[in-house]
Amino acid sequence: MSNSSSSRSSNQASSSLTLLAQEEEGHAMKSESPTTLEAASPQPWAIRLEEIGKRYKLGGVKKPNNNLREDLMKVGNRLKFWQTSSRPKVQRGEFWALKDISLEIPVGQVMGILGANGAGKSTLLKVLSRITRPTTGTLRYRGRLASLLEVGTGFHRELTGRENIFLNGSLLGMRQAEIHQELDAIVEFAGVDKFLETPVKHYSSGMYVRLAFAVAAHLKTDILVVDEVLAVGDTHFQKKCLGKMREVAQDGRTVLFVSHNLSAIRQLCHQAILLEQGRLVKSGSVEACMQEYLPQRQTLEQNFSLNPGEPGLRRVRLCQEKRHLVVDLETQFLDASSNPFPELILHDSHGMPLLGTNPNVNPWQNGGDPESQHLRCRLDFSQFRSGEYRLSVHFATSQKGKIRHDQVLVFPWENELTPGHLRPSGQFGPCLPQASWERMPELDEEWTSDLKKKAI
Amino acid sequence: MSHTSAISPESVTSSPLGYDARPETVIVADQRDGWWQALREVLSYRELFWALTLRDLKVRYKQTALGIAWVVLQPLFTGGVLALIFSRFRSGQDAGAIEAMLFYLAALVPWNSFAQGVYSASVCMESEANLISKVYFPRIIVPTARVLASSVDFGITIVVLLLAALFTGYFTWGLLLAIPGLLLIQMLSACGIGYLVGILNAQYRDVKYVIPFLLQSGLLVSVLLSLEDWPAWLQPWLRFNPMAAVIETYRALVSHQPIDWPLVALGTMVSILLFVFGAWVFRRRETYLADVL
Repeated sequence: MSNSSSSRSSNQASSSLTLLAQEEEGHAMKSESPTTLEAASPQPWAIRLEEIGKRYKLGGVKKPNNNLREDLMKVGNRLKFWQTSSRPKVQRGEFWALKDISLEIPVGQVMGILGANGAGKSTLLKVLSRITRPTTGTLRYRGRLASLLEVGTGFHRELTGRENIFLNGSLLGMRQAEIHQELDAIVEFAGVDKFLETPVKHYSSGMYVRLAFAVAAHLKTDILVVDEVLAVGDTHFQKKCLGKMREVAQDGRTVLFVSHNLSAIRQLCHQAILLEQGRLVKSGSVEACMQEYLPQRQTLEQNFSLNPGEPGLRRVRLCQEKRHLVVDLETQFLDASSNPFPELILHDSHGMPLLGTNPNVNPWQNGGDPESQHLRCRLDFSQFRSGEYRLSVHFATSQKGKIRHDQVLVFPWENELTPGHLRPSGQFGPCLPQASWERMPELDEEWTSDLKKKAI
Repeated sequence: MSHTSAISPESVTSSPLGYDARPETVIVADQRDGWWQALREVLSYRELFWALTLRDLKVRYKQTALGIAWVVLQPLFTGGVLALIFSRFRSGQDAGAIEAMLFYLAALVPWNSFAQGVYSASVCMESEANLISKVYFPRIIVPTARVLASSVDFGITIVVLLLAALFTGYFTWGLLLAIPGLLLIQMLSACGIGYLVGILNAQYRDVKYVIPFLLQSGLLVSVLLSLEDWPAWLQPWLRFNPMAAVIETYRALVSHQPIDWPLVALGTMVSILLFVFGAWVFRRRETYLADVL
């Protein structure tokens, strides 16, 4: 994921598109998933992006390009003047959240979108779902498109479950008749039949989320754009959601799917694209994109570039100290009140999550230097076999939501009890439980005497 | 910006066959829909209109003991207080208590609904920011639904006015006949102003502090006093206020005075102009709405 790859992609994109053109280049994945390719190539496209770009102005409002806007801006600035007169009037820089994205998504494909924080995934979804308009390029799609960027859009606390189903459904583009038709299925899926006439403010958070997802899951649109909605609910419900998503996919509908749950992307998606700093750097099979997205070589230290004042992680470092993993996080959280809660997640070498630290622990108030931005976590990892593991670092912040650094480090783990195993054996799994064995007196006298007779 | 030929349930099947026949939506940067296409799109979302209007109505009086009765009580109380205190300040009027009450009720019924519509439309983009940044629909539905919801209040309070006129013997059939036309003037103005201030407030939050002040001034100008109470040199200017046309006509009808037809014509024209201008500004700026919210 270096500069070379992104410059390559821009050449590709400007020379004009498509998934198929790029697939030829990434022949590695061709051998991995020939079936999806065969299925993909003869299908007509459902979504087609032609050199889509989206520009944002940093710290400023859009520059007017006609007289009326100019006038209104002047009025606006005058109004602003007496409220916040100290605000600088300078237009700062601009940045392209998306640049030259050209892509065709065939009908019936489930496409995963991969990329780090700020790579442009959410902006792409917003452009696709028409929430915001691209600055350059053309977007075409065929059929009805619904976007599910958030679970429970438009839900109102004071309204009952039934009222919210209808409101949310019509916001997502369903007809009243359709919702009537699906009502029983929705209620059953969410498991809230007893509380249908109760205002949702009395719902438990689990019920709320289940109901919200259920409405969206019963949308019957040709194209569905989904952003990180599986990150809700309990495990049982998440499984149900995944199942529903799979059903949608098998229906022959086109799905675009963003998730930080990489195993969900693996399970659901046929193909994937990888975004990096607003550019399309790879499209092809899920595996090929993941390989480019996640570091493959072992790294014990990662640095991240942050703007001055931007909250986030600056550096993560890891080392083994006998039976413990020691993780050092150098952060940049200047606003002490935000108290971002850190969370470490350990994955096996395939990226399956194994364990995570308790995200409800606030380490900032554990004493120590109140000025320091350096956190250290010592984690007992002695119950894992020797092998290669991966580490993700998340921060739950109040202003920026969750800051995620998925599988940033790939590290070797040496357990003295299982020397020499470089990879955790698939046969045993990665865990090495503390098990004690003893030789015990016979349980069944008769059986052993039989055995002895036979031996004679 | 787009060309949506149809968003209809008929086009939905679970099989991908015949996909090329699906209506194609094209979104080109820096290109806007024609008025006609925009209108068709809004109409295809008409169910969302009712859903949002209904939500506004349901939510407003949830968890109140008197519920919808508040709609009726508000103008009655205000009208009573105004009649008690202010009627004596109006020059050259020596009408009785009943006439004073009708005078204020006839103004408060349309004005309250108008002010409620304009105010809630002015803050709607901000309060629905979450909706607007998460799901697409024609944005103009949001302020329009707010104005529609406030007109439902009007539907209830106008009954109060009609009953009051009936019991005091001031009822005329003309009053009943005038309601649809006057309501249209009122709603067109409320929508036009609502679009304008709603979309401006999305970017300049100052607007929402100005609007209550302006509405209060409007109450002072058109409700507390009648048009003829103002100095003669000011009257020609005040006639441009479309709500003056609405209020003066109701007042004329409940007091058996002749209707000021030029004023009604002017009000109709101004309200249509306001509506078109508001919609025009709204459409120019709605494109980047999600970016400035």
